[in-house]
Amino acid sequence: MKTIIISSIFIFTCSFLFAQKEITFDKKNFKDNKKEFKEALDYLEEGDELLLPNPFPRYSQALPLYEKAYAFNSKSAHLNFQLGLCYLNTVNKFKALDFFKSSFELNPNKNPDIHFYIGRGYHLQSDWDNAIKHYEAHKKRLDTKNDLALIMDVNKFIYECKSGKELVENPVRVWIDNMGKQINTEYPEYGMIMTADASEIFFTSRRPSTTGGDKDVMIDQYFEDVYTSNRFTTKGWSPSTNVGDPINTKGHDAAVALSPDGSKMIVYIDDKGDGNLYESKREENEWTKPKSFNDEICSPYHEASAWYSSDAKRLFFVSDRPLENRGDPKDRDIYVAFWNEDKEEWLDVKRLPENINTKYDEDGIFLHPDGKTLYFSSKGHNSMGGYDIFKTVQKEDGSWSDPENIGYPVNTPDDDVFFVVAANGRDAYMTSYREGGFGDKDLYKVTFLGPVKEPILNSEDILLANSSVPVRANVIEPKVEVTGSQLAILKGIVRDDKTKEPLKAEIELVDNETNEVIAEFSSDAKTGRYLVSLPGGKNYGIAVKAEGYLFHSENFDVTQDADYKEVEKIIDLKRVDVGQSIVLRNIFFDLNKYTLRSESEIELNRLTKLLIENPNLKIEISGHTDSRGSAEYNKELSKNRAKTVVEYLIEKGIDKDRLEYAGYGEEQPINTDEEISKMKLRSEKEAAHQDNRRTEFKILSN
Amino acid sequence: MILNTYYMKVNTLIISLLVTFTTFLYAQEDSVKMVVAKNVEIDSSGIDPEAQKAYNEGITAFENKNYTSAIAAFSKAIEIAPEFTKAYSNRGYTNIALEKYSEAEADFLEVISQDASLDKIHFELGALAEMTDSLHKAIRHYSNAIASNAKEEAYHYQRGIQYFKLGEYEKAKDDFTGAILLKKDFADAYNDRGSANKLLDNIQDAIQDYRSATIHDPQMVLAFNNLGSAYRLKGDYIKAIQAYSKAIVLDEDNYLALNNRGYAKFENEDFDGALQDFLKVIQIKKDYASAYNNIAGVYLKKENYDKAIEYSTKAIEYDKNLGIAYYNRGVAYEMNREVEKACEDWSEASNLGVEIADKYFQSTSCGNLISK
Repeated sequence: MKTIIISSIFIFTCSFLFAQKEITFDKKNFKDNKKEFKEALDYLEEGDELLLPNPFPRYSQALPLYEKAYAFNSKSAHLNFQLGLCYLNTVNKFKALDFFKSSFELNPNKNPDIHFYIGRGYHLQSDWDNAIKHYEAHKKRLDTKNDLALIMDVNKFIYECKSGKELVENPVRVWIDNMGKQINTEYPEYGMIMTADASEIFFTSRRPSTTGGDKDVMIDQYFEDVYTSNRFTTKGWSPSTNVGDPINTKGHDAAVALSPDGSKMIVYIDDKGDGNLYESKREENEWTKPKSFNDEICSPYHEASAWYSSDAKRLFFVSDRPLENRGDPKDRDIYVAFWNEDKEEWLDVKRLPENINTKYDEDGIFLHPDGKTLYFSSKGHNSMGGYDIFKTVQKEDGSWSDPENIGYPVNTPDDDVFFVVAANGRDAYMTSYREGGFGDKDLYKVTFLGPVKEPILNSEDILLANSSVPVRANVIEPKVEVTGSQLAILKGIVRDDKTKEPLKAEIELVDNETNEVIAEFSSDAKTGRYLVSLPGGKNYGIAVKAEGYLFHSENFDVTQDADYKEVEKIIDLKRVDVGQSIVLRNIFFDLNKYTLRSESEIELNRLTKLLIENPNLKIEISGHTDSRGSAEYNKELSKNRAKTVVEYLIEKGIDKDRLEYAGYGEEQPINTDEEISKMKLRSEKEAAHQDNRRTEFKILSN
Repeated sequence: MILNTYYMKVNTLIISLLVTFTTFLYAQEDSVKMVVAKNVEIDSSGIDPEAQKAYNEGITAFENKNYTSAIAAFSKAIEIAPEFTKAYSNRGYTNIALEKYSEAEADFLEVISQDASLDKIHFELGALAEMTDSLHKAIRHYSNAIASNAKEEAYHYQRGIQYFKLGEYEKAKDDFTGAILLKKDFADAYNDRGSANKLLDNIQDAIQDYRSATIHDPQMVLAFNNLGSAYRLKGDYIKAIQAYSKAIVLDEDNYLALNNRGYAKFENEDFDGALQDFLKVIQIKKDYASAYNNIAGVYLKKENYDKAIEYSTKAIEYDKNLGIAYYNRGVAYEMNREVEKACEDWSEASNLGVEIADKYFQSTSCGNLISK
């Protein structure tokens, strides 16, 4: 009751204080300038026609007409309202409020829903309290029986305002920077996707350079095309270019998703009127013609958003397909499909659980390269208005954590979609319309700074009465919530060792604990480029193989709580020639022993296979240690380790006459002690010692 | 610095010991050979008179600060009478005056070999061991002194200090308690026990002890400062500021108390007050790196990142091993959008043991920004 009284007083006060005299578009009001009146009236009527519901309201086309009419007469409640509607439904949403307020001031009875629209205007300006007051005022005139759906809608907006108030009071620390003139133009740019290391991006834009150069007459904007930019060789972004055929056509072409290594792209094509997802592959640095996903993914309903998991075994996508046991009106939900190795297709589609999918729309999904953090947009949960971006993390048991609103100022009361996060977890990219941009929607980089980094001060005391030496107090370091990602990115180029020409090679990712191949990738034949995402919690063995070449092996131990690391490595594959040697990074021994550990099996089998396929090969297996410990001990240990490997190969059927072994101890380091002593970080030094501890094989004859 | 302090302390002890002997002997002797007789005390019965004479000459030379002659005279006495214990001990004291510590130790050990019950000599050996930072050896000697005479508070107190230096705070605390039991107004022991309690995280007990120290010695600046630091650790910033302020009233140039008060004000979110204190510190002690670092900390809070960089840079100039100054400058650089410089500073801070800097280095992907 008290609320109602306050609301009434508020509305009355508004009406009283700001009452102005309305001048309608009536010829009797403009007797002295009939010609100008006629013109303005024409604009008004033309605008009104464009806002008719059929085929659909064309706000952006109506807006300039209304503005011309407004230049002649700004005192029409109707025109002000229509201008408010146009702004509310185009990019300059912030401008809507003033027009709705003017309309109300000029004639409070002109539009029965005016409080709802004023509420929307305040809502979009994050003026939560005023928005709630007007929503409440609007609710008062609704019938609790007949307008139940409308009341629920208004309640949803009120809830959004309350959520917004809370979120704005606890903003996240970010920098939001326009990506600059190489990327953004006066035309709309949106829907950015990228490789895991954020070195190459694709996005959708409506520019005059669109394929065919035509506009969509319905909305008077150029057809969408996919554009790209990268920073392979420069610190900043290269000028964006149209990716061209076959991704872009004369119609609408939008980029939806990119595999972490950039070898596959999902595009959205509104081919049958229901919207479907297509996949294009990059071969020799060229995109193939997009091919539709199977019916499991592409239903008769609308699918528009998708993302690959980093191991390419899962595909998350959004669909408005109806639920089996719910005759619900269509709302967009997130689904996941699994790659079936045997049938080589996406199958076993599952809807994500109820704590993720709400009765409102979900959209704009992005699965982080860590393989477990899903970002998505939702109009439900505690959105502060329209779509907000949320984050959920898949737990060990497969369930998903309750979504967390990623907060203000990334989320706004308007729709926030198309949010992608680089593997480092610190850099993200989004689409936004902001003051000071290049015009229309632009792409922005969001840098997450994490919680405030508190300064550390220092104090000293003389603790003992008979000492004159101050004792520095133990520095209590502030608690830190690490915001980075727990994963590593291995990327680079695969080349021929001699010619340095790029090579297409197969990259095999092995879980050393289970000895299972968990993913397979390949480098691009034309550029040699590769990228592998290594989520935390595993010891990875990596083998890079190409026909006619010795395989190259790498080992990465990425612990569950590892900090983000990006390793760039040029891999030069060596031909199977005499004198060539390679390091076997995935052969493991127990500490200070020469017993082979079971994790070595895949690497040893790879070596066995090589010897079987090349029956004339004679090789030397050599053991190497780091320089810690006595030289004599190290030499003996390395020799015994090499001998163990040879014994394994003999056991696997390799002729012992083809095998020699040697122990070099610390004599042939990859990194010398002098080099190690110059390294800055302890972790670097340890890695250098680790490099020195190795098993190698060398071709003696072929 | 420590050596100087102990040197002064031992000198004081020598003088007080000699004065004690002198006073004691005046009461027993009245012959014309008073000077000699008064110095030979109980040994007079069996010691060769020539040795006694040389011994007394040694004392006279010592009083005249003619230490070389004193050594010669005591040595002569020992040569004549090798069993003359006091000649060894007085030569030992004279050697200390000459800063010949190993010779002094040898003399005292000779005394102990002749009479292991001489607690004061054990004590002197303990003090000598302290001078060379031989903490375990000092503890052994002080323990022997206590075994011979458990009623002397100084023995407990000095052993407590050695335990404290070794980080054995529980044992230190027990010894300081032993000293306090023997001397109820032993302000130094209260202070030091407070410090042991503080390092054992018994903050409330530390506060009690520091307060007792200030009650027994209201001029004890250091105890007021330590009381402030204990309150600060407890989060009672107002009382901390009051205690530091008392220390500053007693000694207005006490830069440690000023710096600490600034820290307490900072924790109490009085950033302007903190800044004033820190600025005063660097007026008093221009090369005090901690204060420059703390000024940088205040400017970080005030979001004046240029000033934070300026002052943390000065802190580094005065102490290139002050890891937290690199850390703070890194934070300021980051907020000034100079992320590569921030990474370099966090790398340096991490190498200097600031663990959080390593975390930020990793979470900012610094490894991909700066050249290794």
